[in-house]
Amino acid sequence: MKLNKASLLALIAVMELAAEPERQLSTSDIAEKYDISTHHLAKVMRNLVHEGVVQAMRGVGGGYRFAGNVNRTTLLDIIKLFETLESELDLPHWGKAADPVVSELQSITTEIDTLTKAILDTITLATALKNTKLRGEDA
Amino acid sequence: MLSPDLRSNRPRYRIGHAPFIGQESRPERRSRPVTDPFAEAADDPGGRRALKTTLAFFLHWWYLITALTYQENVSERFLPKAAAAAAIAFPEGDVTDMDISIRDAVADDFEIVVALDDGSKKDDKPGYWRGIFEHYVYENNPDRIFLVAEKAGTVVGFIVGEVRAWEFGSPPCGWVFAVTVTPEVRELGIGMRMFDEIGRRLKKMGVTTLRTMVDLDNKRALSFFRGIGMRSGRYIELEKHLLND
Repeated sequence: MKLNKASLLALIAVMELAAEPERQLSTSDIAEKYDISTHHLAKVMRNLVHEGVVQAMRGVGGGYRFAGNVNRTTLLDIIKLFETLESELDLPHWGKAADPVVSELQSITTEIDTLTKAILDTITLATALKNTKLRGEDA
Repeated sequence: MLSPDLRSNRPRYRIGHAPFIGQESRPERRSRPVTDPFAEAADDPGGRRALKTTLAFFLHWWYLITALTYQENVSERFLPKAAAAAAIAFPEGDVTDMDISIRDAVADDFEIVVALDDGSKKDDKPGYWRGIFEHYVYENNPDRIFLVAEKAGTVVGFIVGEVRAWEFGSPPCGWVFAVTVTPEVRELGIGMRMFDEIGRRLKKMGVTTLRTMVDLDNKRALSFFRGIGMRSGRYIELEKHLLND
């Protein structure tokens, strides 16, 4: 599985903000910490604000802060804002599988996608953050 | 620090930064005439300046007192709400302070266990649970563990597990195959307390791995097991639907 760039940036930003929900961070704060594109991250942040995942705070010292519930928001909830996580084979009639070979390949990718989504849909931000903290303590 | 709810309601000015007349942050004050009948009656400019200074001094304190009062009002208005919300989530404070005890299940727990079980096939379950009680409660087999959680003397959850050796070629490991907490007291850490206890007992029996299996659609159970540190393991469950020919 390869997450698209926007999903990955969204996960990074949301986990960074959700780690301390009271804290406000700007796009450049996050971009600098993870060495990622500020421009690309800004577009992702606008989408996250529009979806109500994060809140934009105006004024001096303003920035973004997490607006959701870490115990209710899963990684899939964030990813789904940017992609469907459904595999596609680069075939002209993909999705209209009349050929048994294509149909079988489609069935296999569906099985993989189902498992992938099931895993991502049961990892809440709280769980991911707890594991992140443990990794930080071990390092 | 103020909670997010409070933050959005706090005054636009802050204590220690009470604006003076004409300051940009108070447009309503800016539009109010600053002239005073007493000042107009005074001929000398020095007197006007003194009056302005005095007026500014009083206004400064007026803003300060208003700001303080406003903040107190905000606190009175929103803090009880926040406290009430906290009370819903954590009725008796931290779970470690709650009157929760974990003990071995006994025969009298049968009915409450069946009632707590939120499986879909309710009608078939009493028979299933009779078998489980027979093997995991009455037999007193040390490899099989059936625990219940009690809150103030009432059973609010249960967990069942055992040591299984060489099943699917695996060395002895612990299996947890049932865990339930009544909806009213979920998210208080009771499931985790039961899991910790069964894990402690299974570890004493010499196993180093715990396993379970959960329906793909059971997000609540999957999130619970994920939350306590379980991950996809080395064994993959496979199945085949046996169709009628």
